[in-house]
Amino acid sequence: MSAGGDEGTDGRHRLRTVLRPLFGTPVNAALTVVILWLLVTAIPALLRWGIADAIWFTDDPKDCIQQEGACWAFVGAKARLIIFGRYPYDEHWRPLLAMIIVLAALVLSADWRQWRRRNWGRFLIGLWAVTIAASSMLMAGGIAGLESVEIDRWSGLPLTVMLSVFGIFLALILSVLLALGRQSKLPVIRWLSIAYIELIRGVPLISILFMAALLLPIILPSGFEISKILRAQAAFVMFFAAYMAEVLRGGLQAIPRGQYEAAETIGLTYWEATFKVILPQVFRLSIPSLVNVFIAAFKDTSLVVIISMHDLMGTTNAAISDPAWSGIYIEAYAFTAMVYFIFCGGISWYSQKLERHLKVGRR
Amino acid sequence: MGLHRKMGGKRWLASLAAGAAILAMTAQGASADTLEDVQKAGELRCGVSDQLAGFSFLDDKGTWTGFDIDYCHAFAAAISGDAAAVKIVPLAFNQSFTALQSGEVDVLSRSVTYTLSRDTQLKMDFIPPNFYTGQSFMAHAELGAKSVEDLDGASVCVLAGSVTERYVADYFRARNMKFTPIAVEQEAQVPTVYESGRCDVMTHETPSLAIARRGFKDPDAHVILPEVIAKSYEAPLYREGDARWGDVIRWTHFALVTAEELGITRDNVAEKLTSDDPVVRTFFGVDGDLGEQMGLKNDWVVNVIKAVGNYGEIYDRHLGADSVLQIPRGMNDLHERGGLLFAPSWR
Repeated sequence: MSAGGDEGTDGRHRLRTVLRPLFGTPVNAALTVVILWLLVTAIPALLRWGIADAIWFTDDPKDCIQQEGACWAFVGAKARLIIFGRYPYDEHWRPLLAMIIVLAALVLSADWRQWRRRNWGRFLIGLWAVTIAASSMLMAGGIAGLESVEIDRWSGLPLTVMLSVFGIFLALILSVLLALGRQSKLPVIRWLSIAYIELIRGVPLISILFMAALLLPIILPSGFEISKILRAQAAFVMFFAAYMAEVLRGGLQAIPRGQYEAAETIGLTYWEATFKVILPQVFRLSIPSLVNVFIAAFKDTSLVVIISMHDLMGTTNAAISDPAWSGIYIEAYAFTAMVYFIFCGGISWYSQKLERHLKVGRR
Repeated sequence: MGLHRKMGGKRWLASLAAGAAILAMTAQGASADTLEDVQKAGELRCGVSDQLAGFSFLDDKGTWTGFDIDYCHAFAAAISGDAAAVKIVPLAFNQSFTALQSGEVDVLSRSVTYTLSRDTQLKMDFIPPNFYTGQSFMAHAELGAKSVEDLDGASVCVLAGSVTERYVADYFRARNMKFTPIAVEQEAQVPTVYESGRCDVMTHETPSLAIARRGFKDPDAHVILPEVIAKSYEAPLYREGDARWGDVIRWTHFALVTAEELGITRDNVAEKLTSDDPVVRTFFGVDGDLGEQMGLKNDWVVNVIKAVGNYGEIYDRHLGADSVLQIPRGMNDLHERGGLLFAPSWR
């Protein structure tokens, strides 16, 4: 029994476990060969386009149009437009700082190691109140010597982050009420909740956005005016609340009856029982599926393009319509795709970590 | 628990009241007199196309630029003397009419084709067209085609199922000419397919052809033929039933055209102000009170020209000789030079 022999069989075994799924059956083998061939042909071409033949710096768009490779100089020229959109050029530091504040608050509240601390919930509520106040003051200005910037000029990545973070946050609050309402013993509340959830889920997000953009100004008495951004934000909150409510309902149904009964026996009121006993367990159960909805929500904010708002996707479209750089667009979309990937990848990575953490905690 | 509920109820009422207050604060009096409303608000809300190269797009610094945008600035300068007193409202095509009707914008300055059905069925009125265009053809220069007459038997790239496809068919059939349509499914791909040589000719609205040509490897290897079929005359719009407002919009356009006729530009407007020419003096409001009769200032034209220049300057800056698009003036030239632009007498 030599160590070397062991390593040999071990290595061969490992090789076999790798190769079997790839070449185990004729179909698998064929698929593997085709995919390998595609990779071999695609990757060098992609590298040649994206790196070797690419133009990194130029001030003259003509240099790019005559070239085979990617024109990253275009992204360089348009990066600030894509990220900050119509926000006044000299004030770009403000949305940048606001975004950093919001993301920092997000990271702080996402740290599960802190969740068990006393009064952490209250701290988080305070933190978010400060975050929302600080970031909107930074963006809107008009105080502390900051130039006032009207809400319709908020655009690009800050708008995407704002629409999704605040949208998810508000939708989550609404969805808790809806999920509880759907389980309620009071028929009117139950029916209303069911009607709301089913109505919203039965309608595509696009049509809700269109209603917010087109119908609302007509329905509202003339003279009443709500910014289009706020209308879109409300549409997102309404839409995602319905979906999150269904996720939470799944969590609610998974809580054993005994938990309710036990809470009642020790004399807790309905609200005390709900907030102290039931909801913490519901959230723990539903977090993976909720995070799923969050990712969808982040990406779906790009639908505001159809009501001609300039979120990240909208500013990308705006960047490629400059006649001076006519015909160049793949590079801008690649850049934007990368930004979306960083955000969605981040959320997804966190959700996996959290899932693992929670499973460990339950065992 | 009772106490709990009561407090909750009060808080709810308080937030409702706060919401109502916010709504009331944002409310503005809207009446049938748009000019007065805009003057009171100190800001014109100008609906534009959300992105159209040359007409309205965001530059590197996130500022709106383009032909349609300069018209917004001209309207604002006419009304308040300040070309910057305008809020640009980007609108997708399907939203723009509702936005105008619901009062979300005061005027539409976007590429809307003037048609009978739009004028009569929607509650909007057009001013005379400020941009004349239509469908044109672009051919590979090596074919040597000088006009559409030379295109008998050519293959033509068209957008599948589009109006342009039908217009080409009608045009060729009426002249007993043959062509092979190459239908392309996606609009963005039409230029790519054409450039690759799959077809001899591509057809689209003239500015779109110019924009597409700019993106080609060798723009000089393609010619836009002179014929324009299927007219598309584009004009700004305002809400129906507000004649005074319509006058301001219409005559701002006429002022831009008249200034070009009189040779007044952004650069020489100051020196022309001291002109002895009675026509120029009336135009600038040095003599008479035509401006005040309209509800504007007497020198409103001066503010317009100082802000954006005359029609020709706007055109050249965004679409013509000084722009990357290089679209010839063609129909968009003054009447006296064989174009379609006109302005009634300034009296």
